[in-house]
Amino acid sequence: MTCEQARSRFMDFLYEEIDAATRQSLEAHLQTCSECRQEWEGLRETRALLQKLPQLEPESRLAFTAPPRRSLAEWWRDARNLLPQSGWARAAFGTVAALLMAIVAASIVNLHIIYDHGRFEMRAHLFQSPAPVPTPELQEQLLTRLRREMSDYIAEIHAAERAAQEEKLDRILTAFARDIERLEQQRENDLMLIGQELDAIHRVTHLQFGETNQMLQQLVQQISFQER
Amino acid sequence: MTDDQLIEQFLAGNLQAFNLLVWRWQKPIYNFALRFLGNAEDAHEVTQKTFIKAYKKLHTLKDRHKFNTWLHQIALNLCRDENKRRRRRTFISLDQIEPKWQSRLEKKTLPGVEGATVEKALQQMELQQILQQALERIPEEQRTVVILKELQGMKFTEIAELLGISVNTVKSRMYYGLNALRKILNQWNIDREAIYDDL
Repeated sequence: MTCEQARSRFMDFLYEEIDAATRQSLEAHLQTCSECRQEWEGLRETRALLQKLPQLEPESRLAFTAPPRRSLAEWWRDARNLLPQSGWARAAFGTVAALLMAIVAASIVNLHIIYDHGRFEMRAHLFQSPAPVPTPELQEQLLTRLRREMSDYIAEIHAAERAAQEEKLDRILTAFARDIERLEQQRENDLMLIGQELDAIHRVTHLQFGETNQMLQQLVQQISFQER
Repeated sequence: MTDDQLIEQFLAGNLQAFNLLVWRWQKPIYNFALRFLGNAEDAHEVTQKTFIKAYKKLHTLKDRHKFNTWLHQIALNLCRDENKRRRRRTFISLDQIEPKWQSRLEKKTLPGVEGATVEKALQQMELQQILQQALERIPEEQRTVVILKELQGMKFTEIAELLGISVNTVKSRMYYGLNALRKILNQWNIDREAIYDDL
């Protein structure tokens, strides 16, 4: 065992976490190497010193307890501590709180505030009051007004519908005219193409006739020559 | 009753089960913090915080067999935080931390104290202070391993798991830690024989 190997085993040896064979080998090395032996003795003494350090008792024992139930007075005290501490902040907080409470109360009691031509009226009731019954004159007036409004409304709808139909018709006619124009153009194109084709056929036929005549003439010449 | 059973009972709502765990582990955790920080007041505070954190986080512990390691891990993190706070708080020059006990120890006498028993007791206290101060002088990573191994009696594998390092690294830190302690004690001219005699 080398010195380096011995040193790497010191901790295992010191804490007795070493197998028998390695232990014997290490012990043999320590007997022969004074440097390693000195270091080993130093480590062993230091460990012995540390073992003399006592395990001290803590000054007090810890214990956990369940949180106690809070009384109403404690809740109230904590709630008060949450409020602002300075005078002005408290006044502002109080004003806002009062205003909010007033709004909530007003919504609960169905508060109605009416101001009409210098007449101020305020009503509050827990339940909605029934609607007032109108007089015959008022009913007649309402009916007349309703009829007029309905008539105006129907006329308005009718005019809008008519305008929409006219617009739709215009669109159809315009499209129709465009279609006719396109068809006319197409017809002209077709006629022009037919004319061109006819001219081509005419030219081809003329050429074929020419060639046939030429061939016939040659044939006639050959026959005449043979007869002679 | 084992730690596992107590944890199970606590998680089922039995607060006294947790108090039993506290009763069982307060002393080891307190001594760990005490040796790490070297101050009883801070050690007490760290111990308190450790158990409060354990109380809140115990449901997150997956392997209940490792409660010891887990608890020490919490304590170690809190000790490290405390050390950081201290470093921010105070800067002491090396001249200021000259050991005051040195001359008295060498003379093996205590001023104003008569009687061998009292003298021996006082010298024992001073020797503990010497060791504590020597521990505080070695690097934090070595000190952690030395305390966990030597004073808390943990296995090398447990320390490796706690610190998230290999077993070989733990042994290496232990080796260098012990050597560093020895050198410090030699530098202070501590009479080794005297220490053994007195302890």
